[in-house]
Amino acid sequence: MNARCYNEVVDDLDRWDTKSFLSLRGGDFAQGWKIHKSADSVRRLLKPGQTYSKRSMKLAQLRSDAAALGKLGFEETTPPSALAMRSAETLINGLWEGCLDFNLEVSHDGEINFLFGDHAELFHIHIDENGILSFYCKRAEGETFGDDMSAGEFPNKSLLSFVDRRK
Amino acid sequence: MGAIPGGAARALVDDAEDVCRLCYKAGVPITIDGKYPDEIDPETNMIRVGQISKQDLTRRGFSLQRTSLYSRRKALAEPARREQLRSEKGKGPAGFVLKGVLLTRVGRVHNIVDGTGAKVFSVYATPNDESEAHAEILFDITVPNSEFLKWRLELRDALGILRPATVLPSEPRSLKQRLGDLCELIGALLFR
Repeated sequence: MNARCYNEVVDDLDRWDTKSFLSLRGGDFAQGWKIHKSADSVRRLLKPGQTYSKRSMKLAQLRSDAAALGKLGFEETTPPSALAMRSAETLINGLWEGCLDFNLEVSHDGEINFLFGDHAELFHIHIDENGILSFYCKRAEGETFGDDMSAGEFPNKSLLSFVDRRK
Repeated sequence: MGAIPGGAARALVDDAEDVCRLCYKAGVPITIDGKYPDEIDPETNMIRVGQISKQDLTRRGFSLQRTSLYSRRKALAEPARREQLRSEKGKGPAGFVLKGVLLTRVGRVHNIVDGTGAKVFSVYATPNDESEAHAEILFDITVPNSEFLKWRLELRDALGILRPATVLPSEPRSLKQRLGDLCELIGALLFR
């Protein structure tokens, strides 16, 4: 692992299990870091953390559901467009930790739905065929809306507040 | 009559009529969690909100059948018809089964109104080659996407829980019965 890779891991700590982080021992700094573990050990030690795993699982489900819809050949079945997929992936990658427990539903029309909460209190995010994101949140205190935004503009704070209040 | 997307005009279904949505399940679970193509959420026994798509409600129409013109026999024969269509297109069997129906009164759908009291959805009679009972739900107003998310929840609740197909009449009502109903309705209106 060179210094650049090490820095990337440090920047991305929340995605990795750092309990058993590999030990690095600096020899002559000018010669770079020396790793006293084999490559296999490094791979074993750098297990993805829970957040990273959840995110990866949701991405895998999205891709699999979208591919399945394309292969089904049922009447009136359309897989999500490339724009919708890109938006959904951006959203999943950008969701804050703690906001990764949701039901993912890809409709027969290729619209992508992220459903948080239950019948009484819910937070729904919808991505249409053009990749445009909208959301609707219903709670006892009232409703929150958001329309016509890109996945990168999604207000994570609003969702986190919803998730935290339900705990 | 009401204006619908596409500019055509179709007849609204009367508030007093019942309509049903046929819900299918394919024999082979295809997606990761085995959800699709099961339209019903096992936790609530209601239609999954994801299956009420915006494209259906704004363009194609969310398909229903008018129960007065429909029958249990037709509903139970529908999976075989779908398999036949697949076979004609050279596709393998999907193992379709009819899970049940969502049955509601049209008035319940028409009574969903926005903050100004405007009707949100309309149920239109749209008979086709396969079914003279065919009807569709479409948005009656132009709404932003986020409001679509809100109204489809109302629509899901109006459609209610899944029921067995046995709630449908064994045979469609005859023309004579329907004319009788119409005369009764006119009489009630005239002598009210």
